[in-house]
This record gives sequence, C-alpha cells and structure tokens, in this order.
Amino acid sequence: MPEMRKDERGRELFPLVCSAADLAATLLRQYDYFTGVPDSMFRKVLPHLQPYVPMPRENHALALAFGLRLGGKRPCLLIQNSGLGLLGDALFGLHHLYKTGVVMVVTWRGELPWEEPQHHHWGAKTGEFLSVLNVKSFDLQETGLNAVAQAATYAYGKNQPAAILVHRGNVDE
Amino acid sequence: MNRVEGIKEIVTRHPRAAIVFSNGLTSREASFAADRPGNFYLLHGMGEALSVGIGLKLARPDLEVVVVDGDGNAAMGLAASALLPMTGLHYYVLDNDVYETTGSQPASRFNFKHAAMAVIEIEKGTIGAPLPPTPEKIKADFLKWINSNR
Repeated sequence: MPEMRKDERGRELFPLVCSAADLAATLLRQYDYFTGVPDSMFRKVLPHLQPYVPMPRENHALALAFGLRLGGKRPCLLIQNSGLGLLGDALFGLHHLYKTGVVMVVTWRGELPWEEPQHHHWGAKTGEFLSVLNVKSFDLQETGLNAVAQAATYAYGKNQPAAILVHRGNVDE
Repeated sequence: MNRVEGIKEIVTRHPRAAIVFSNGLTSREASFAADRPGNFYLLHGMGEALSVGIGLKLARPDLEVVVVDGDGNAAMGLAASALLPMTGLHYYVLDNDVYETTGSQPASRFNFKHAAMAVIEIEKGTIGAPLPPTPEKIKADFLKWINSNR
C-alpha cells in the first residue's frame, strides 16, 4: 500500500495524484469524445469534458464509443467499477470481436474499509475483473497522469481496450 | 412481409446511409440479401445496435445513419432510446414477436412507442441465409466505405 493521506473527516485516502482539472485537461489532450455514466468521484472532472454524452447504462456507453470509433473519433468512457458488470458482453461482442480500441476511466470504489458496503465486492474484484475481460490497466496511482497517454497509445495503437484506474483520493472530489 | 423484404425496403429508402444491423438473423439475412457498401453487421453485442448507430452519427454528423433492430434486440437496448430523436438518424424495429434466431421462442410483447422509432411488422420465420461475413471483413469493408465518404 502507498503512504495514505486523510481527508478533513479523518478518513483514509490514497495519495493525491492530480486535481480534477488537471485530469480533465490531460484527458482532453488525448481523447476527443467523452461518454459514460456519472460517478461522484468524477464530480469535478465531468464539467470540463466536452463533448460529453451521458448514457443510461455502461454497456450502451461502450457501444456508443464503438460507433464513435467507427466514425473516426478517439472516445473515452468514464464509469464506476460497478459498471464493468454491465458492459462485459458489449466489450467482447464489439471491441474485442472487431479489434477496436477504447479507453475507459474506471473509479476503483470499495477498496477502503470506511467506504459504503455496497462498494466492497467490486472493491475486491475490480483488477481481477478487468484482467478476465482482457482489458489492460493503466493505474493513475502507479504512473500518475502518464497513465492517460499510455492508455491512449495502447488502445488506439493496438486496437485493444484499456482502462485507467483511479483510486479513492487520487483525484480531488 | 418477411424480414428480407422489410430490410430491402429500408435499404431502398436510404441509399446513401450508413446502416447498422443488429446481431442474429437481422444481420445474417441483410448480409445475404441486401449487402451494400455502408452496411455494418453486428454479430454479437445484443441490444447495442442503437447505441452504435448513435455513436456513429455523433462522430459523423454529415452522414445519414440508419439502425435496423429486431424486436428482441430493441427491447434489450431500450434505454438507449433516451437519446432519440436525433436528426439524421433513422431507427427501425422489425417486429415478429419472437426470438427467431434462437428458435422462435416468444418474446415479450413489443408495445413500446417512440416517435423516433419505426416499427415494421414482419412474418415469423427465416429464409435460411448462410452465416454473415467475418468481423474482420465487416469492419474493413465499412471503414473503406466511410473513409471514402468525407
């Protein structure tokens, strides 16, 4: 575990990697269309991202990204880790099947003991789940904002899905 | 009207459009009986044809985009219809009340109404078309077409 910090309520958090504005600015340098399902960890990120299309389900956001890519865009999804449970079939049936890249920024909720109980199952399984889905992970915690460009190079250079993982506390909320 | 007749009518109505067909018999019969440049055949990802079409339209607003779903696919992907209507995107649902691809099992009645959704009643049954092209060919042909249409 990295050296943790505490918020104003004394709750343990992962180290701060960047501000929400810096994450958004870095994303905007790599991607030209944004979609997903909101998570409160993205509360300060999403207002900076344009164009952004909110979708009702993560699988539809992923399918939207597939259409965007067919039309020549470099899409980026922003989702909570729980949404991975919905998007598996679209990922195998669209992006993997047609060898098409996509990048998803995934919040890793449920790793910290104080987080609400509904997040804990996903907190325990997110990394493993992405591996099972054949999605290569780039961790903001490990490589900082470089993860954004690394994921883009991988996804749109090799036509493969990639995830940028954001741990609780890595970005100011 | 059978599925192929319905598909042919749609294709004739939109000669210059990019057309996304949902997986199963819709793609299979379209690729066999109504193949043309600009068709994209989904082989899997059930319920996602409309979202793919919307993404395509957003990326290429200059293109007319058509989505052709079966009723089972449309019911599964219904949440995406929250983004309709979208100018220049035409959404058709071929409705025969069954999951024909998996053996004509009854589907829940497709009684959804949306001003931007054209439901076409078709007969049950299939013409017995062969499998559609490979994903590699489907994507390569489509990209060749779309990149020459700028």
